[in-house]
Amino acid sequence: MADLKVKIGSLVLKNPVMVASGTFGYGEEYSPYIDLNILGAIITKGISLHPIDGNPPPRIWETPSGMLNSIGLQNVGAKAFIKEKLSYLKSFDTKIIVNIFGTTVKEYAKVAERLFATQGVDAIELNISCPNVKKGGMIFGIDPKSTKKVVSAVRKVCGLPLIAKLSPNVTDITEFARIAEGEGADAISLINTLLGLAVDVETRKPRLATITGGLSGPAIKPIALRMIWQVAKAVKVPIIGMGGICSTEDALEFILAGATAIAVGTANFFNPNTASEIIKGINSYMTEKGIGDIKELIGGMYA
Amino acid sequence: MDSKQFISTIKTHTEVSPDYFLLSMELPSEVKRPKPGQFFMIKVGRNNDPLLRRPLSIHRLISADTVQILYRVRGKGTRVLSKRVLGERLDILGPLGKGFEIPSQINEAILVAGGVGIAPLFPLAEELKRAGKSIKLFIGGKNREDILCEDDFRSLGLEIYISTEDGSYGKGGLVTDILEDYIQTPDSRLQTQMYACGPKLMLKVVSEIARFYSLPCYVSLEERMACGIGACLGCAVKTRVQSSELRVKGKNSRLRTPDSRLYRLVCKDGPVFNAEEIDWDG
Ligand SMILES: Cc1cc2nc3c(=O)[nH]c(=O)nc-3n(C[C@H](O)[C@H](O)[C@H](O)COP(=O)(O)OP(=O)(O)OC[C@H]3O[C@@H](n4cnc5c(N)ncnc54)[C@H](O)[C@@H]3O)c2cc1C
Ligand SMILES: Cc1cc2nc3c(=O)[nH]c(=O)nc-3n(C[C@H](O)[C@H](O)[C@H](O)COP(=O)(O)O)c2cc1C
Ligand code: FES
Repeated sequence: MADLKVKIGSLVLKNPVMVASGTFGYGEEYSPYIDLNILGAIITKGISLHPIDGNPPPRIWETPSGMLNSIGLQNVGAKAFIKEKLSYLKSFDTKIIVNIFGTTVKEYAKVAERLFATQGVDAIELNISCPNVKKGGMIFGIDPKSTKKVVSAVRKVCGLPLIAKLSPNVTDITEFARIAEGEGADAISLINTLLGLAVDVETRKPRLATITGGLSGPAIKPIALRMIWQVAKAVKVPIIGMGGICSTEDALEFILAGATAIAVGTANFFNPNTASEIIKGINSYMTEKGIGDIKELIGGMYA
Repeated sequence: MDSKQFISTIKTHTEVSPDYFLLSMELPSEVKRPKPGQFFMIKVGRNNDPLLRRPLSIHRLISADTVQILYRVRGKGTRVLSKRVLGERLDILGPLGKGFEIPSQINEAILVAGGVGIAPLFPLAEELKRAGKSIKLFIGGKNREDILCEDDFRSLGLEIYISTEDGSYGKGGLVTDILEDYIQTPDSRLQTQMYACGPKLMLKVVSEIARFYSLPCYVSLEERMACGIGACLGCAVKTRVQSSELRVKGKNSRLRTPDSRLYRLVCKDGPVFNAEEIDWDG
C-alpha cells in the first residue's frame, strides 16, 4: 500500500480525499451510499451562529457540465449542529472539518469560538467566498481588508487548524491567499463556486430566484486548476483543491498542480461513490508508477 | 435510510403516447420495495451528460422484481433517457422520499392527476383498493394524448372523470372544474381524503378547493433536484411557517422547533406534503 497520509497544519489525514462543504450534507445523508470511514475528511455544510432559512426556490439549474446553485447557506445553526449532527459524525473514523460563516466579523469569531470549545471538531474551514448571500460570505473574500480582518479575528479565538476558503471571483487570487497565510491560516482551500447566470428565453426570467448563483462541476475545473497552481507558488501553507473533481485523473491533476489534498463536490450528487473511487484510483496509480509516498506527487507538475 | 444505489436492467421501453414513455426495469432483490409516491434518482445518460440524475416516480410494481416508470419528455435529460434501449443498465438511487399515507379512518379517496402526474397515482390506487376504500379519479390534460393509463385504472374498477383543455376527450375544460362540480354535492356519510399530482398551478387550485370544502389533501410536489437525498438543499419548497430568522431575532424564538422551518425539502420531507403546509405563492 502506498502512503497516502498528508498533513493540513497539525491535522493528519489518512488520505488526501475529502468531500466538499455543502455537497455532502452533514454526512448522514450519504452514509447509505458510501462508507464514511474511508474518507480523509468530511467538510460539513456551512454553519452559522443561528439557523438560516436560505433562498427562495428555484435554487438550482443544470448547465453544460455543471450546475448553478443559490442555496443561500441554509443551515441548522451552531447549536443544533453540535447537538444533532456532530454527535453522529464523531462515530466515524474520519476527520471532521466544519465549514463556518457569519454576516459580521464578530459572528465569524463567535461560531469559531463555539466550535473550538466543542469536542469532535478537527479543523475549521472559513467560508469567505459564498456568492449566494447578500451579507457576509463572499464580500469577506473579495475585499482584501475584510479578508484580513475576518481571518485574523477567527485566528485569535480558535486554536484549531484553520483553513481559509477563497473565492475565485477576484482578479488575483494570490493576493487573498497571501493575506490569509499572513493572518495565520494553516491552509487554503479553493475554489468556491464562480458567480454565474442562466436565463429562460421563453419566460425571459432568470433560472434562479436570486438571479445569479454559484457555478460548480466539471465546467470550472480548468479555472480551479489554474488558481491552485498560482496559489501554490505564492504561499507555503498546504492547499486543499476543489472544483469539478469527478475522477482519479481529475484528483491527480489537482495534486500535481500543487494541492496537498482534494475535495469532491458536485460529483457527490451524481455519483456518491466518487471519493471512494478516487482513493482506490490514487493507490493504484502510485503502485503502477512505483511511487511510495503521495508527497512526491504534490506540486509535481513539470512546468 | 432504506435507499440504495443499484444497477437495473431495462426490460421494456415503449412510447405509449407521443412523448410519453413507459419503462420497465429490474428491481434487484436487495432493494427495498418502493411505496406509492416514492421516487428514484436515475442517471439517464451513458456518461456524465447530463450531469445530474433525474427524479422519476415509481409508477407500477408489476411483479416482485419488476418496476415501471412513466415519464414525459420535457428536456435534455428525459430525451436522453428515452433513447436508452432494452438490456441497457441504469444507475439508480432509491427508493427515495416519503410516499402517500392512507389514513385508516377514510372510506373515500379522490385522486386528481394532471398529465404525467398520473404516474405515482396508479400504485396509490392499487393500495387504496386493497384497503377497501372507494376511489374517484379525475384526470386532466391539454388534449387526448395527455390522458394516460385510463384502461389500467378502469381495470381496478374505480370511477373515472376525464377532462381535456381542448375538449378532444372527456369534458372540455380544466380538471379542477370537473373536480369542483363533483365535490359541490358532498356525501356526508363519507370520510374523504384527496390526493393530487400534476403541474404546480393545478395543485394550487386543488388545494384551494380542498380547503374550501374542508377536505384533507395530499399533494405530490416537484422541484429541481441535484442530489435527491437531502444533502444539497436545492429542492426547497416554501411552507406557511414564518421565517426562522425572524423568529430567532424576535420574541418567539423559543417556539422554534425542527419542524417549523420556512423551507422543506421535496426530496426528503416530501415529495408528498399536506396541502395545508405549502405556501403556494412562495
Ligand atoms: C419527486 C419527483 C417525481 C417526478 N416524477 C416524474 C414522473 O414520474 N414522470 C415524469 O414525467 N416526470 C416526473 N418528474 C419530473 C421530471 O423529473 C422532470 O420532468 C425532469 O427532471 C426534466 O428533466 P429534463 O432534463 O428532461 O428537462 P430539463 O431540460 O431539465 O427541463 C425542461 C423543462 O422542464 C422543467 N423542469 C425540469 N425539471 C423539473 C422539475 N423537477 N419540476 C418542474 N419542472 C421541471 C424545466 O423548468 C424546463 O422548463 C418528477 C419530479 C420530481 C421532483
Ligand atoms: C449545492 C452546493 C452547496 C454548497 N455549499 C457550500 C457551503 O455551504 N460552504 C462552502 O464553503 N462551499 C459550499 N459550496 C462550494 C463547494 O464546497 C465547492 O467549493 C464548489 O462547489 C466547487 O467544487 P465542485 O465543482 O467539485 O462542486 C457549495 C456547492 C454546491 C454545489
Ligand atoms: S435534491 Fe438535494 S436536497 Fe433535495
